[in-house]
Amino acid sequence: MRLACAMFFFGIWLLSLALIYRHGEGVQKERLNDNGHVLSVIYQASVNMYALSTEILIKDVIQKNEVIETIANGVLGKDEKARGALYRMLAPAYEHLKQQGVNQLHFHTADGYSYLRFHAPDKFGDPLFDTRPTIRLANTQKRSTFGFEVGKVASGFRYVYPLFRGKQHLGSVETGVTFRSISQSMAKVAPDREYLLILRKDVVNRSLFPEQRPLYGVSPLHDSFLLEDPELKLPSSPQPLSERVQALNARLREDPRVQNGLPAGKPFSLGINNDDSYWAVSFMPVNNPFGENLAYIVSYTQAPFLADLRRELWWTLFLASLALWSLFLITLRLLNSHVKLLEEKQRLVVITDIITDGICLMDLQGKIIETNPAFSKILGYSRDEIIGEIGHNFFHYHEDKTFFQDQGCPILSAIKNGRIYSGEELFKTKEGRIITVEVTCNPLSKETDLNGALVAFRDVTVRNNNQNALEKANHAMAMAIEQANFEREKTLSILETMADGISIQDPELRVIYQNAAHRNRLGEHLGELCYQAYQKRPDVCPDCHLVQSFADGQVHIRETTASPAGELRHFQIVSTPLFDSSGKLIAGIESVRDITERIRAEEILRHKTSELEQANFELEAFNYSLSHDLRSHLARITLAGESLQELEGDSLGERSKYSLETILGSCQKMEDLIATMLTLAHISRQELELQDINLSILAEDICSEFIKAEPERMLNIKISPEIHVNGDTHMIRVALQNLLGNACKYTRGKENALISVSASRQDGRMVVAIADNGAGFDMAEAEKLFRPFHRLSSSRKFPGFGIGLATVERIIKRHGGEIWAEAVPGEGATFYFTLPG
Amino acid sequence: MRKIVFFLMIAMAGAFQVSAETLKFSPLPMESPNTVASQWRPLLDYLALELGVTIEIDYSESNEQIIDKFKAGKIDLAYLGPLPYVTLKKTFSAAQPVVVFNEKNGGPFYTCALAVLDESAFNAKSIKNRTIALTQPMSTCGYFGTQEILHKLGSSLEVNRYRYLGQHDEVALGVVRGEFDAGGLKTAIARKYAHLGLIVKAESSPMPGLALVANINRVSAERIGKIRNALLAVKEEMRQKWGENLRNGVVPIKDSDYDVMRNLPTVDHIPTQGNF
Repeated sequence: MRLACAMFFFGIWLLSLALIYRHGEGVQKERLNDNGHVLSVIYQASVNMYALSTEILIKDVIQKNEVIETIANGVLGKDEKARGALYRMLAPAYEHLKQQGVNQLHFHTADGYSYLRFHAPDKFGDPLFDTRPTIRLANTQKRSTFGFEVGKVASGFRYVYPLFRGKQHLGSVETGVTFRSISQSMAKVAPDREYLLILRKDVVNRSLFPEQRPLYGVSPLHDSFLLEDPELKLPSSPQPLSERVQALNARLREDPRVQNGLPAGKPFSLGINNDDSYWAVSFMPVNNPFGENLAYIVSYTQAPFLADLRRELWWTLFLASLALWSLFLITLRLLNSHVKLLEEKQRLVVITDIITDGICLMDLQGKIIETNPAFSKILGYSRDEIIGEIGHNFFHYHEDKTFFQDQGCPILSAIKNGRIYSGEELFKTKEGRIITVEVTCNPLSKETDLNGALVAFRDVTVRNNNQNALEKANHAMAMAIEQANFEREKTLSILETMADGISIQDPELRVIYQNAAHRNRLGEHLGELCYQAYQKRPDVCPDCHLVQSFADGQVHIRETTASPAGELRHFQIVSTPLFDSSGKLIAGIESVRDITERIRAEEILRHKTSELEQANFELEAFNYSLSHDLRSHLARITLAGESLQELEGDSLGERSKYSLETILGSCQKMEDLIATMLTLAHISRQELELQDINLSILAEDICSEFIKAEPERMLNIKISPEIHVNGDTHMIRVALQNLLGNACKYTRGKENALISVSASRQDGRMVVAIADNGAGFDMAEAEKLFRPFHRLSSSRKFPGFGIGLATVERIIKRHGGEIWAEAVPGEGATFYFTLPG
Repeated sequence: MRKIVFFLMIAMAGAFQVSAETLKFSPLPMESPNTVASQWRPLLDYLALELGVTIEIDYSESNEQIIDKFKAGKIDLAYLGPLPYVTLKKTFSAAQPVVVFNEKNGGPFYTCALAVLDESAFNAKSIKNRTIALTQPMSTCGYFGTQEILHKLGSSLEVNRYRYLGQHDEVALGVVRGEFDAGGLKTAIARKYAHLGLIVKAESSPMPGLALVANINRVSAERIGKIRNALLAVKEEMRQKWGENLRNGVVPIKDSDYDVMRNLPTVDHIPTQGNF
């Protein structure tokens, strides 16, 4: 900021210096231009003086009849001697003119040819219109003209008048004044000046007689300009310039203002310091009547005023610099104060911006001057739409009055009276929501005058709501505590009345509760460590179930024995970890139940079961032996019957034959029954040889046998591929033969018999399902399904002994699996069994 | 002492050499200074370039003034007619003619004329007590040339009234103005004023042309040779840019060519003032 200020002042300083300097230059230029104007006036006066001399000559001498007649005779070719006569007539007048400084007197014909030059009488007859515009103008427009011209002999200021005899135009006459004459006249008017005439080189070269050109040399000021008679050897040459001016010319020749100014053909003046002297040099262009610049008259004069102006300029620059930099220092100090003020304001703004309370600055009429962001956030009004408005009308809500009524408004009253106000008020937000705010209004004063107030407010609606909610919550909590106490009492009552002993230990295994049963059984040990109190151990029990529950969070059940009254008793101890609502372990419940009676009953049951299993085993052994014995006797009967039929069959009567066939048929049935029973017995006794079995291939093999056996049936059999189980191949084959055989059997009579074998894996086991759309059965008889020799009512019309499913169940159970069935009478049945996968 | 004199001579010679680097030239004041200067400047610029020197014009108003300056060593080169040269040479032997300029007619000779305004009013019988304008005493066509013409016409200046006017054109214009009955001047100049009614009544015998004369005290023989060679060798194209009286070429000249002048009796008896 300071740097910017310094740079700003530096810029202003430079600008001021530039402006002052420019002004100074302007004043100097003005004075120099005045100098140029003076030159112009002097020049004009001199030129006019010679014009007057010429006019007198014309009127008094040339316009005499005899002179005009002589001219007429000459220019019209009537008299060859007229030219000489004219010369003789006017020679005295010409001498008089020369004495006055008029060097040239020249007569021209009407068609622009030289008729008689008094200043060069030997030269005549040459055309003039091309090089002498004044002569052309005078003879073509027949009016007098004046102007500087570079003639064929010399340059000069020419006055040309047309000549008439009556109305007859004869030609013209001119007088010419050299610069020497002009400069002499000018010197008389302003003797403190020196003058120089310089001529444009191109104009000189195109105008002069060639032999006259050597009389011109390069001007001391510019290469494009020539100086007439630079060596000043001719009698008509002006006075030589002083040495100081010649030295000045050397400087001016190097001056770009001169080098650029002269070719422009415009008047200009400049100041220059040379040898501790100030000079004003003015350049006045001299033009021909057509405005073409031909030459410059240069005026040199000493100009002490330039020194004064220069001195005045430097003093002005110095004083301006002094004033400006003093102002800079003052501004810098003000700026420092302002920066501090801004920083302070910035801090305040930051504070007010981050404050969550709404703040507004009001004037004495309650008009809002400034707000902070929280103001807009709370009330919804943007800063732009609220600034300059009466705050009361916008957001102060009087519950019992109208919204806009400000009578009795405590805030406005406090503002107008310069009092502090603090209290709760209702404000209305832009959305129309009424909010409760805590308002503090502090008056603001400037010196001793009260000029407004700072109003700060805080939305306490939420706080009030929270307070209400808290009160409700407290009430609810009190109710909950009461309810909890009730529940606790209830629970304690239950616990106290329970037959099981209940002991609750904290995580350090300190007893914190015992119910009556526990106290009665083990005595009261509240506050003691459980292992010391109950097990009389100094340390935690090595297999403490409660510690395990604490560790894994699981319920642990353990049975143990104790002899509290000298009698051995069995107890079941259930350890349960107790967590609070956050999942933190807070205690463990130990439930102690006396299971002595149950243990005794189970002991008796096991004993009875063992006896029964032994009896069954013996019965099966007997059954097996009996079957074998019956089978051998039956084989003899069958053999004897078949021999009799073979030997005496033809001789037997019809009744004998029928009896014999009945015997053989019954023998066959008996053989089948015995074989089935032996199979059942074998299944029960045979050792298992477990291996991986592809059940799908085994089922396909068995089904193909059934299809071969009943080729006339249309069996639709679907077997899922790659069903693998772990089991005894022989036994599993027997089981599948029974189940698939039943499916084939009970679908007889169905037009589209469907049989399927599928499997799924559940809990590490294979669940195999064999389904059919056969006769099905009533699920009410399902429990009788696997009883040996028991046939369901729906299956009695199909052949069988009722031993197949019993065999299947035994095989499955020997593999550790389970079997069950689901069926709908007339729609089919599905048998499920599980095997290790 | 001899050594001192020797060194002084060397120093003076050096000073002369230095001053010779800028040659002072004096034209003959036959016409107005402007005319004279304009006629001579191109030729002098040519010579300056050829010689590697600067040449300044020193304008004198009379032949006597030139002769005096020449003798005084203020002039290095001068454009002189035969009479001024002979007069100068008599008293200043360091004057040496370099070249003579041809006249408009092509030869290195010119004549003087007796010019009148009205030929019929100025016949031989009447040449007595007439007013006659002359140029200068030391001008060839002044007293010297005019006297010869009048002698031819059976008269002389002494029986008339004569006055020196200075320049030839002043003589011509004086006659034109009617201020004089006749005037003696160079014929070529007199003819320039014919349009004003000036008539050449009679001409003199041919005189050696106007010559460039060098002061051998100030200009070395080598430089004189260079001047002569430069003027003889100048190209026609360049020469045509020179003044009207100078553009007709030059021829070498030697002092003995002026002997014809020296033998004339009037040379030594020229009055310096007019007789009225």
